[in-house]
Amino acid sequence: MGIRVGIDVGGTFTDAVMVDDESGEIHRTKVLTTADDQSKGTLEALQQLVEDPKSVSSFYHGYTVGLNAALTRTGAKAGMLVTAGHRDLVDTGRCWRPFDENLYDATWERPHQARPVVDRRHRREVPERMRENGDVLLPLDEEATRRELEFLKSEGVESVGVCFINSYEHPAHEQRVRELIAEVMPEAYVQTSQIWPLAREFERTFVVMLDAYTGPPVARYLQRLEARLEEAGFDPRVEIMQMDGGLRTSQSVREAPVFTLQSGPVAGLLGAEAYVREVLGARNLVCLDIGGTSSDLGVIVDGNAEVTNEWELEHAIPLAVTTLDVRSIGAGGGSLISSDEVGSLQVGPESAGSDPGPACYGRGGEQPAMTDAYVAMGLLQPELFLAGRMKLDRAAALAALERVAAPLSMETVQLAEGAYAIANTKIAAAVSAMTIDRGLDPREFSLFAYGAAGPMHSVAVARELGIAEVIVPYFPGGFSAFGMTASRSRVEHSRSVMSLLDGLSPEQINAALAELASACRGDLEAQGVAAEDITLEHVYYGMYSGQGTDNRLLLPGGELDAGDLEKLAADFHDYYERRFGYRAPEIPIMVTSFVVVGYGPVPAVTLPGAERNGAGGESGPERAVVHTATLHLDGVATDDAPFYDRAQLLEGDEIAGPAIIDDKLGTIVVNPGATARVESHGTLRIEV
Amino acid sequence: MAITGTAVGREYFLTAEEVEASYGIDLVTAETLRHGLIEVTRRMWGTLLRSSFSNIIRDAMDFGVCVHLVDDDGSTQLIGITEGCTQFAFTHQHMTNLVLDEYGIENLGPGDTLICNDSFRGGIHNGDLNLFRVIHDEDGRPAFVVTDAAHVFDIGGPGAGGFNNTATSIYEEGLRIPPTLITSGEKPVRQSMNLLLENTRSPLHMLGDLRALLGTLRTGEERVRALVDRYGTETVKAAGHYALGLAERRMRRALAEVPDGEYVDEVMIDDDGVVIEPITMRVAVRVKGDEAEIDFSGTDPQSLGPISTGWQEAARSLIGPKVVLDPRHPMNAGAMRPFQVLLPAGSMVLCLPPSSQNGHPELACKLSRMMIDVLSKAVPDRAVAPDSGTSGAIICVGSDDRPGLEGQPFGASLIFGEAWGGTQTTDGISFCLSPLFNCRSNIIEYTEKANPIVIWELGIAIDSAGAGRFRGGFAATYAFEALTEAFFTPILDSARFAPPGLDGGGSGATTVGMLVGRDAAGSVRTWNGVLPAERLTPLFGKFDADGRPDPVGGSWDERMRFQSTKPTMEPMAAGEVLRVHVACAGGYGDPLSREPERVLRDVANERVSPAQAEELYGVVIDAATLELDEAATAALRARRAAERNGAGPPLSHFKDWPKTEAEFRQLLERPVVGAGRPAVGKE
Amino acid sequence: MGINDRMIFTTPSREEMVVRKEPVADAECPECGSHDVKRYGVGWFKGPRMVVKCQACYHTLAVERPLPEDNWPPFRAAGYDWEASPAERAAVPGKD
Repeated sequence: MGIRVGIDVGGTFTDAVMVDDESGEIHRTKVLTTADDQSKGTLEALQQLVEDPKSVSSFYHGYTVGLNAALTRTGAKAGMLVTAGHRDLVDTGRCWRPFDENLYDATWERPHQARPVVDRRHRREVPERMRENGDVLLPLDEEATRRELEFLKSEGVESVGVCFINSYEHPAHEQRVRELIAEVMPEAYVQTSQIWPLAREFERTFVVMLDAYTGPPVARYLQRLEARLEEAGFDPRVEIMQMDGGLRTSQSVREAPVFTLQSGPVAGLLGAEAYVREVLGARNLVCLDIGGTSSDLGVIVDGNAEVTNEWELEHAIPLAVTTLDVRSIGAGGGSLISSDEVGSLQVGPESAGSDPGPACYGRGGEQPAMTDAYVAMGLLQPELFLAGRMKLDRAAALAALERVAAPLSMETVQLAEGAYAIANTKIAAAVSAMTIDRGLDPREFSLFAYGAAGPMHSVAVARELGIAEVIVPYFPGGFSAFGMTASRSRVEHSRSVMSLLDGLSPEQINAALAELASACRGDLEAQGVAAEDITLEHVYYGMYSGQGTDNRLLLPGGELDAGDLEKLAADFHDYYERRFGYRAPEIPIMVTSFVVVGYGPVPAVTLPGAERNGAGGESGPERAVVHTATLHLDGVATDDAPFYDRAQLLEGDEIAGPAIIDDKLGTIVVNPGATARVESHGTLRIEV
Repeated sequence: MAITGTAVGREYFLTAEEVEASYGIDLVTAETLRHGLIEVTRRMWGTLLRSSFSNIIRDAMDFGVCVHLVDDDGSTQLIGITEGCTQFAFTHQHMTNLVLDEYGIENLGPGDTLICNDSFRGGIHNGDLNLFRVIHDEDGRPAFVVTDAAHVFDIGGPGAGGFNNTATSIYEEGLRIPPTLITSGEKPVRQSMNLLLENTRSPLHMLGDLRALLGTLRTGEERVRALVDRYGTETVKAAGHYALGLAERRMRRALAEVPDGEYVDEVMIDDDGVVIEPITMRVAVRVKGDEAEIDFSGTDPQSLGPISTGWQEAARSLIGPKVVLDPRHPMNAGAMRPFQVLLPAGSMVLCLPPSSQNGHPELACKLSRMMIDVLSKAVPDRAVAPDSGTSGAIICVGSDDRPGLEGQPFGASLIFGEAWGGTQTTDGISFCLSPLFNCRSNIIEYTEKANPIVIWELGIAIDSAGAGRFRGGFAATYAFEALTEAFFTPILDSARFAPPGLDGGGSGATTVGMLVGRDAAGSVRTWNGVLPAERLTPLFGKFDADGRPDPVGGSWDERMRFQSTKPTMEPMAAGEVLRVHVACAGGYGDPLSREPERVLRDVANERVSPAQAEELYGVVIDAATLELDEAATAALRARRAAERNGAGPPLSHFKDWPKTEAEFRQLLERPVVGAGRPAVGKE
Repeated sequence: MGINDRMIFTTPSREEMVVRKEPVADAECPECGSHDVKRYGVGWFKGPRMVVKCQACYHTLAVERPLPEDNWPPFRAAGYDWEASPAERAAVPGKD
């Protein structure tokens, strides 16, 4: 019990949410991110929310220190030791070109070739080699290793990653090298394949390399943060948000900082997961978070966010750790609207950013952005925008749009509505990629929309996909920080198997899982989780023998017997039928790895807006109308369309489109033909 | 549309009103559906990639998935594609027309699928299966077609893994499949399936891949119908026509900016694998207004060995315009409309049956390079220097003898990439396949699990990229051994003729193949791709009298086991280490004008030696301190320019290969350039 | 004409490696008025076609499907002109 605080550092703002489990109150604040040292703004936000430091029982945190270092190539001075002959692996990008506008472009440069994370000079070769079965083909040449380490040391390298071919099952050489590094460079940060002991050398080398690169700055950051907290009277123990959606103590994060590389968008998805649990029951949700600059998409199935191993920092710079699957969509409020030399109409991918920003921001932006289209359509009203704190220049918006519309001989509003439609198509396409490619049918989902502009597109996108309803939580801002307070500890331990299911006995499988489970328990207990609060999930990765892309599948809990394995195989074939449209029962099943995931307890989740519950009365939603204006939506112009203040809406209110609901930081569009209803906690459910 | 070829601009621009007048739908709907149709192929890609079996589909991504519309006369136009292998973006436009024309589109009903691999119907070669499924509208008329293609590992023939480089006719290689019904009313046609499965060495994988390919077409149909259900057939087709017109207008606009005239070029292929003589392909591109004729007259007659091709160059030749004139937009048949391709019957680019196209990749790579080169000459602003011109691949097959796997056949295609040439603004990309292919390299650890192979090396060779203001990329240098007796089939070229530079750029080093002996410790490690000659056994390519690779002064003669880069199923003993250095790409522009900082960066990263920095780039760098001497550089560059007297720079290659083990040891023990220098900062 | 003529060929000579263009009698280019108009086989985006083109200004007067005697493309399937069997068109709705 007590006060729990979540603080998420974003690009522009640091969001903080304070939850008082006893009183059920939620408070939030935001401060500008202090880019030079993110812990400054973090403490500032914390102190704004909390008077008595001793009242804080849990502090959750997400930062972008590692991500920024990786993106701007300002991480640790790092070196790599690799198997002799494989020094250029990370530059190969596995040879292929992306399926986008760069595919045929001879001037496209592969990101790691143009801007390496660790340059070739500091990737050193060590004579050693193992076969896939662990046989040593070449023993480790310790003298050569020492020579390379001396070189790296002389180059000022402070962090060393070690990744050898086939080491994922046979770590002996890497372990010995770790010892040698301790002798030659005792101060160095060291990471090896033990951080991700799975096959696929390209992915594994990058996990090790990105950790060696971002680990030291993250470790230094955590040190500074803890010092600041302690000085200010707070308990310095912090729980850090990871990419897999779980929390880990800052102490244990230091063992593998790269797992926290990009946690912000993940935390937002956790907020959605919490909402599903507390307010909506188990549901399938497509989560759409569109802000002014960024747009993120995630999918929740049966109440759990989907995970992926295919996250990339940039093209062919993968981080293959398990992460909640949050993808960026190239369409948002800042997307620029343009035409080209043949009259094609485009929305994005370039963005207006925040400076100068869309034309209607009045900062001198000349190119029209989606926000300008919102203004032209009437969705954004200058009087209401950001509760009047910022004036929108409608004339500038129209002028910018006219510049693109005129050569096309389109009307300004026509262009605005057209850009809106194209943006919706792009968002819908991104949703299709995350659902249909997984064998999921979007029509079985609800669309959960948040962020300043998410609820502006949601009804239109839902209609494109055949989704029946849109849900908009009452949570003006700080969804990521809130998501952290709703999260729990998570650890994952895996081991490579690479064996046919037929060749595995229940005893072997149970033994392997038990070992991993024990590692999870140990890991969690070391972080302070009580043994009785631990829950485990057993997972295997499998594919048909001969394939190369495995699938993450759940195992039943507890000890398995022969009957369980038979059912496992049957379920596997069913899965393939559902997802890929065929089954191949005559082909053996290859198990590539086992994973056990350990969780700490789920905290009690306090949701804002509880005071709106059951508050409906005789008065209708008209009490909440604060404005009327002309709306252009779905090709229909509606004069005197109502604009509602969300804060004045009560449970039970029903609003028919076309209408706009304004909640100070975002805008909810109820298209013609759609009906919005206010439910508990102020949640809006829109029937499209 | 009037074709004037003078004023560029307005005639290629359509306003929203003009779009509506031309296509009957508004601009926004047209653009929305244009995206939607491409998205159909993205969903097909998602299905195929994850459900296929062959490592050539799932790892190498050698596939294509397309959607086409059907015109009133039964012909088809490709409106959207997700390229795995980019050649399909071109060939499927032709092949769909040829196959449906021959079979008769009116003979196909719902749930029917055709399969064909024949080059004379626009296919690639026997290993590439192409499938076609017609989608009918509510009145039962063919409205759309979804197609896919994928390379399968084995389809019979003497060369396990699909490549018989000694085939002199189609009867000596894998199964040739004319347009054949493989599903009828959604049910597999047993005789067609059996015909395929009984003619491959890997029926289990073939069945898996066929299921994946068929399932992918069903996915495609579902997604097309979702669009049709929402918008109606006519609207979706109108959007397809808009997408085609858009691509056509872009290409015509770019062509209109090319000065009218004839642009000629030629390219050499080392040999055809059977007749050991160089082969010449020639092209003349005649641009007039916003159209062009591409004429291959003067190209050598078809080869005896299996590298000449059937109909596909009518399509693939357009990779040149695509890369040079309009690279950044999605490909569709509209971009092909402004071109007419002239192919002399019986030439390398239109061989006559029963000639085999089994070994087409090496011709494809050179054709692609020649087409990009000829258009680079026509449009110097967008020039791209020549690439390596080879797929750089090797197939290794045999019978496993690891415990528990005894007797099981294994086969791996090792694909690690060639390199592209320098451009106006960037160095050429390293480790990349030809612009006509876009394949992904092997996962080494999976390959070593599935095959008794050890891949000892995958890297670059210092000094081998063509010098230039923007240098060429580095192709892969790789070495592997089989742990049991095995057979290898290289798919290689550019061992005789170095990839040239462009516009003052220099040539890249040529392809060489060798066996490598181990050192006393059992290692075959290199120093930046360099080894001692005494441990090398030259197999093909140019070596000097001491057995060191030398693309300039060396010769390819009877010392080498192979006189061609295309032997088939050659035995390699257990433990023998085969090593290939794939030719590197040409540089763009005079290397004497390359930014010295870039040269310094290449030297610091051991891609260019200080010696080459001085010889080819005229840049003086202190090897001990990594300091750039600007004054000395200016002086040296002036001297080099005078020495060259208008000639291009020399070919790039490392000149100091050690002869003995002792010399090699010295090289290994030499401090890294700039090691221990006082000023240690970021490169 | 036997099916062999378009299924199995001998290798032509080097001298023949030029696309043969047949002059079209009594033709006048509508664009430039030249009489140097020729007909030849090309690869057009929809496949093999015979074009009629002015050789002075390269204006295309016509694009036509090849006639059998054009031998364009060289290869022609043996069964090209045969009717489809019932098995090959079993899924066509309303078949007889």
